[in-house]
Amino acid sequence: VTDQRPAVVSTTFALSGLTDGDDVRAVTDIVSTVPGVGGVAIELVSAGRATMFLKHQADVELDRSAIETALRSAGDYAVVPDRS
Amino acid sequence: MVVLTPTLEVISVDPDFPLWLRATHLLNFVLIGIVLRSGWEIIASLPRFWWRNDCKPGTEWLKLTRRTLPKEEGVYTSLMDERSTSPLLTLPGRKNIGLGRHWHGLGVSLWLLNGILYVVLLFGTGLWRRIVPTSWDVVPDALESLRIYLGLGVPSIEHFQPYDALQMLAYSGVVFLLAPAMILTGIAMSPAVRSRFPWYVKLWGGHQGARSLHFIGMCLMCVFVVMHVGLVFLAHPEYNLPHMVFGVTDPTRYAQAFTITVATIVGTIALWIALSYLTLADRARSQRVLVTLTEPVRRLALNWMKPRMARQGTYTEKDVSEFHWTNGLPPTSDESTEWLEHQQNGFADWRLEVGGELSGTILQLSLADLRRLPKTEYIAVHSCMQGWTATSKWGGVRLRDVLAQLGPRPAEAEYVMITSHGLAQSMYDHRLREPFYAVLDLTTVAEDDTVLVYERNGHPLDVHLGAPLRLRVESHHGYKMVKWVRSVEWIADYRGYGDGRGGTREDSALQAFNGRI
Repeated sequence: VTDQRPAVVSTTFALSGLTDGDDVRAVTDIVSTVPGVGGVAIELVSAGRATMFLKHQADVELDRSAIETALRSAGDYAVVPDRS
Repeated sequence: MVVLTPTLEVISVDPDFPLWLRATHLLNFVLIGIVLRSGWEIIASLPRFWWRNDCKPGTEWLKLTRRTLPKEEGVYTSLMDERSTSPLLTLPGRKNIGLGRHWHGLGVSLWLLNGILYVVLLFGTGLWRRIVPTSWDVVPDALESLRIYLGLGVPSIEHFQPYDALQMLAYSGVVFLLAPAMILTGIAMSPAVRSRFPWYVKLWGGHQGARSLHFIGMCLMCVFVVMHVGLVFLAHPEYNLPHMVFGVTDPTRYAQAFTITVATIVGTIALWIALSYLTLADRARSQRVLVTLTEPVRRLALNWMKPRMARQGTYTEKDVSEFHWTNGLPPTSDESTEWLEHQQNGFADWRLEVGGELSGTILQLSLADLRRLPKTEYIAVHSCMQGWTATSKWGGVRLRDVLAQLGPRPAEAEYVMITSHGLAQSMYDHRLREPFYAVLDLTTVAEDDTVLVYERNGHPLDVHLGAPLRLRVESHHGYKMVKWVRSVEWIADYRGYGDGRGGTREDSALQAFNGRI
């Protein structure tokens, strides 16, 4: 039997405004509510900078503006250009 | 001239309210707050309740979250359902189910000890007659009291000898029915109990039946606490409070008793909240302290229970779930391109690494190699510490049989570490994520139902549940069961790996190394 469930991929975002666990929790909570998001992982990279990995179905394109809106509603957080 | 003659009247302690009774009552108040608040923390991590045991979204009988979930299985995680609560309300708050579970275990252990002491003394001193009805007259008398209360009145003081009929029924119900039911349903949620005595868990309607009844019991307990405390202040407080504080029947001491009672309530609430903030101030330290305090109870009560799912008939194919939650999604390109390549290739070239430094060698075992080893197959319930469950028929090879391919256990080896192709979802300090891992002690490794499985329900393991190989440790909660397994190795000690707590969930979610409850 072949597993017919949808493939899962991740989309990566560079974020600004995150400095500690409280920020990570706030962002995780709000981004979890964005339609299509199946899993959230956040790594604090450097002062105020973080990388966010969102897992979702491969055939679902995440709504970047919905994510940005969600981030703004949670605090002083934003998606920034990835400099890595 | 008025001569003041000193009176020698001494108001002695009322034999109905001895010191031990008042002390256990006060301690019960402190502990019930710890138990309830930590219980609310656990509920917040999965605010859904079911009677059916596959926990399929949409079939809840009670949902305390507005979050809607996709219909597809395996495209979201249960961790996404976790809600952050205020430390003012729950213990400790802010999405800390691991620490909440430790507080719950500690609180319940002390609450149970206090309760046993209370009941023993109650019967030993004969004071049980105050609360246990011995005549059917209690029923009409209680209905009469209820009628008066519903009319916003208060039964006259003559009704209270020292308690009225309604109090006797309520107290007996709480002490001898509700509290034991809470303990019994709580125990039924332990995977160690379920894997040793599956019939006991099924008696309660399975894990979800026990969980739902536990929740309903908690609601009843809250109603009782509110009504009990409220009536203490509303129905003859001039007698209740001196009874409770000084153990005397002396309304002249009401003001003193009132002041002490209010101060005690305020102080206790402050203590409950302080415990939350103290716990959050250094979460790793809190985990160390709380696990140290609760581990003796786990060892004494649960470690002797050895799973025997392959030899039980309680759970059958009829119990196999339609749906299976997961609290982690398959590795993606940021985690393991190697696993993705294996997935594309149908895991034909995938190999399990067995061995390491202590063994002095590393074996590379294919799925075919694993299938050639003795196969074990059984039906078991998977329980996540968040509260969801699923029942499956698992097929695979015992971990001890895989390790035996390396030869005798190295002399220094005290643990086995199992590592995943996937990464942790978060690290304790939110640093760059590291591979998900779990560590088992020798006792757990030796158990019959500690298995590396490659089949579920008669077909190759599903991708979202750990393909091509995952760990099953039936005596433990799911957080020990590594999915998408990459390697297995003997280690001397787990303190040198990750954050040193013995696994990814122990490191980041501050769970206990011993996952038997």
